[in-house]
Amino acid sequence: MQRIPCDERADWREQADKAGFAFHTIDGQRYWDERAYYAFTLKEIENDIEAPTAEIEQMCYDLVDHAVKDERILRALRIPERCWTLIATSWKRRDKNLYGRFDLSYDGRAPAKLLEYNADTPTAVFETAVFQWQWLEQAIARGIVPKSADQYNSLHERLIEGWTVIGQGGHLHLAGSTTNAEDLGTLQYIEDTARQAGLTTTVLAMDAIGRMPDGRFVDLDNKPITLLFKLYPWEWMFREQFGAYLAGASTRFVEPPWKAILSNKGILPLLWSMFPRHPNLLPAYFEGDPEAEMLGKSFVRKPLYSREGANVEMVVNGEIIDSDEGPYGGEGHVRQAMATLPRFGDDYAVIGSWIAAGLPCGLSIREDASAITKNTSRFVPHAIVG
Amino acid sequence: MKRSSQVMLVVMGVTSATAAGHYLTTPNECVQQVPAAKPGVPPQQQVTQQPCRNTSGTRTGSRSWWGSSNSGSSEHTKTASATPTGTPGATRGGFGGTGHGFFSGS
Repeated sequence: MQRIPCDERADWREQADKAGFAFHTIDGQRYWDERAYYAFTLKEIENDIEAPTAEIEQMCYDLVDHAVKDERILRALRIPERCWTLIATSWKRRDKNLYGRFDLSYDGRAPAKLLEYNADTPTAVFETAVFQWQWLEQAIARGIVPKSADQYNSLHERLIEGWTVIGQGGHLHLAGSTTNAEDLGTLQYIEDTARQAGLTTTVLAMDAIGRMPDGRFVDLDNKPITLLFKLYPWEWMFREQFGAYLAGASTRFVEPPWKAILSNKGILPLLWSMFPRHPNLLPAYFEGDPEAEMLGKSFVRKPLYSREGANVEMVVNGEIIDSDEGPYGGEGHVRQAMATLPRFGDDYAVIGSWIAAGLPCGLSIREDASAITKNTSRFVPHAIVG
Repeated sequence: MKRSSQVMLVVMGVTSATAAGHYLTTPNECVQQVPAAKPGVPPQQQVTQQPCRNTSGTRTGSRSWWGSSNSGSSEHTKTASATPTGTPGATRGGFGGTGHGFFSGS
């Protein structure tokens, strides 16, 4: 794994605008950054990223299987009791999941370590699946990367495959925060993959979802929502007004309710407990667990529910050396052993390893001067060159 | 880059313990995909067919440029916003309250 400075395409902004990549620049700062790329060998991808991703995903399935049978786990995750049946039912019914992204610490030498699992509402999907691929094609054509370069990236095709199976050619509603450019861009891209899988689609804002007196969720035309892709966290839905009616609704959700377990940072100590000393896991404990003392005075403190690095704290020798503000933390925290993130120059790099329709299928890399990856951390493309 | 499919099916089989993945993997058949119509783009400029990417991992195909141009109506999609406040009969606003000001993604 190397970070290779390279020429950026002179017209990349125009290319991004043309592709509908509206958030390539955030608050005047680059989000998409192709002034360098990360180079991997095929062996690194297959042995160190892809295979562990599949294994971690399987461990997560094992964890969910345990959790739905053990209310102590659901309680530890602070999942509202009124939602337990909904979650368990969706698991037992084998509601299918579409995608997710594991954030890994990996430097090309030691085994990749799981930092967290973005299991419910992973973003950066368009830039990973489409714009990063476009960069590779053009970078090859323009001599920026070797002609033999490849990319670990079949995310686009896996999403289409997923919708083919999940949607069965029916109608899909997609809902989220349509006023946020990144969320809307993600919704539109996911919509496009569904359409390519033969589904018809309707996009609407989360707050536009209606509920009929008979309990059905409907769109603005009062048409029943039978299958809903929601770019909106389960933990928010559980606590909102309509959350009380989820169990009685006939709507199928993507991601399914059982993903509420896996999108919780509490899975980090649970996985460590189920698979102690697994090479791809970091020691982790619930805060308050006496065993957390084993981490000593240096650890990363994460809220059970947190997004985009918000409210994450890095504690070294008992002092917070880095943190990101946010609204989370009320439900409790976990403590995770500090992972040594690879640092290239002034920046830390975090691997995002994607899984879709049941298979590991792609990679994204985010860089930041901080070791905490945030919404504004830059996206840097990658290539397989050896 | 598709060289991974067969490899990962093997890995999944090896690591499978008690819980089965809920996603039934199926052969990734190559099917010509018709890209979505782009709002605002004349019919002659619409991409009517996408090349099919080779599942063995070559770079011969391309992605659907969902936002590459934009426009008009699509027979495949619609936005439920003909009536901004929605058709009467349903209660609305029961979802979405938490999201204002926060990123939904992760």
